[in-house]
Amino acid sequence: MIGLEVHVQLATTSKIFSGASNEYGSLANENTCEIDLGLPGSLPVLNEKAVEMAVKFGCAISAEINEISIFDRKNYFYPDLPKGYQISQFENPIVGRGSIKITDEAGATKIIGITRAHLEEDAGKSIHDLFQGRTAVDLNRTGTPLLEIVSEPDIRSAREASEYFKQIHNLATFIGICDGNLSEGSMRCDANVSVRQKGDSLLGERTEIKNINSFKFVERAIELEIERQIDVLEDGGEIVRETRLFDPDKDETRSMRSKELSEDYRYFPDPDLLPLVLSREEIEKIKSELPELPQQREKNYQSRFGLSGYDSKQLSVDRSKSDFFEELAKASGLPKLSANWVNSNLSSLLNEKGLGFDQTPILPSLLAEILIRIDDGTISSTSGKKLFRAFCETPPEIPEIDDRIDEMGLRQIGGTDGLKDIVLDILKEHPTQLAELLKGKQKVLGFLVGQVMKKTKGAANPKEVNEIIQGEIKKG
Amino acid sequence: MTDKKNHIDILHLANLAKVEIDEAAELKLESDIKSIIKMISKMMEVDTSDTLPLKSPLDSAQRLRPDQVSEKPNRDLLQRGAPEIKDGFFTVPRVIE
Repeated sequence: MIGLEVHVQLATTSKIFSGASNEYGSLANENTCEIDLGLPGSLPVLNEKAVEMAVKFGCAISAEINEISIFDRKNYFYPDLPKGYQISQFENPIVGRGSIKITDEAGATKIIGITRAHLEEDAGKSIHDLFQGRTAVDLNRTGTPLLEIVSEPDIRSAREASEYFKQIHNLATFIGICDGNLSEGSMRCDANVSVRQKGDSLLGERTEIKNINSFKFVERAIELEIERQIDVLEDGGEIVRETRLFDPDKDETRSMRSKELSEDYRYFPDPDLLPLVLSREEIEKIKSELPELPQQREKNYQSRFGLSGYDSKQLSVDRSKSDFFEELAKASGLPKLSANWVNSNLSSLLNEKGLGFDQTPILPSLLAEILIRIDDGTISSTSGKKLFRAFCETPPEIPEIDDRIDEMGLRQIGGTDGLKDIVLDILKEHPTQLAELLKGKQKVLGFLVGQVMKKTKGAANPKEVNEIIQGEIKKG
Repeated sequence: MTDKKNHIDILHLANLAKVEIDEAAELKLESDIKSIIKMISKMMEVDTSDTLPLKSPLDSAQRLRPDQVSEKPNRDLLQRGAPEIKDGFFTVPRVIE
């Protein structure tokens, strides 16, 4: 049985309780102020954006949003927590019960319950290998707003856990509350793992693996921990309730002894912070501003546009990508072609340039004009790709598009007279090959089509050329 | 010496609070805390089944702050009170085992 606690860093401009910058990667201790350092006399004031983001997430998982929530102090001593306590929420969190859908190993939809999500401040960073014999403390991360999302122990395998973590990641980035950068620690998770005999209703003792920051690691850490617990039990041993650390280099989980005594956090309401009160109207307003969510979009793409399950999923994970696709499909009226282009040509171009879908060098309205011209046969699909590349470099005004097509010589020569004349010319110019073809030697067909393409500088539709030649042969 | 049920693990609490206490202080604290708990037990006798829990003694709600950076970096001043700093970091005795 597995339960996950996911910590999501909220993408606010300033800290949760202070006006210091929440930027990542600044010089050590540059983004701190009296409040972050816990200096005497300083008082926390809650950031409204962090509250809004927490409510947004709650609405996205159809959770109960608590109109009154309370901030508590979680007490423990560590050098990267200068106040001696972390401001968190304990008995009255902002977000109550909700759920999220994942796809299980059999490909079926499974619902994972979410117990709660609460707001809290992140701690600073301790760096142990920077100075000889001393621990370096950087408090820039102190006070970064976190949303801690706690799942029910509904997860049954390491793969499901990684799938759940991915879904939370997709959702949080989709609704714009987190930048989703795992390598910078924007999302981390703790996994609670316990094993039991098949058929047993009682839960076994659990261990907690702390601070995992990748989808792959969460899967591996849980696999290892399940194996370890089964080995211990089979050898007649007992599972000890403890905190463990996953070491990807050694491929093992190991006990973190230092935390054993700190279980007792002595939570109590923070007297510096009044209850957080939200009105129904405020909650409804935030809810109404939510975009249509990935799983809904995925479904719509299949039912409305007849796209495949795979294509729909590919298009709906990333908000900007999904929005781009929808605009493109609307402007062109060609949803399937739009889906292919967004998932292939556009994706690979952005990949090459290291850009995201929020930085596309071409507007959906312009790309739509290219797709329309491919669809009506004005240009071939190969020419479409050339045009697309060219338009990404120097985008034309919409009325100039056809001139540009002509300038680049990309206009497809239609299947009627123009193209037929060229084909006949080519056949005349190559009597030997024509004779061979008439004898049934299909190999030369490719050569002749190639000659036509060369003559038309690629502007002919090879399929049509093929058909014309075949037609001529039948005639004799 | 003491019966288990009423025993308060003062040393465990002292350890959590990172304070060092001697045996005399331990005994005194245990008896002080016991008398506080006695008082609380007395208060628990009041029937509160019809009373809503008090979430805060102040009849007021949390004021919110707009999400703006209002603090300028001021590291040198802020670190002036720290016992030891190096390259912009606070440094403390090594805490990893």
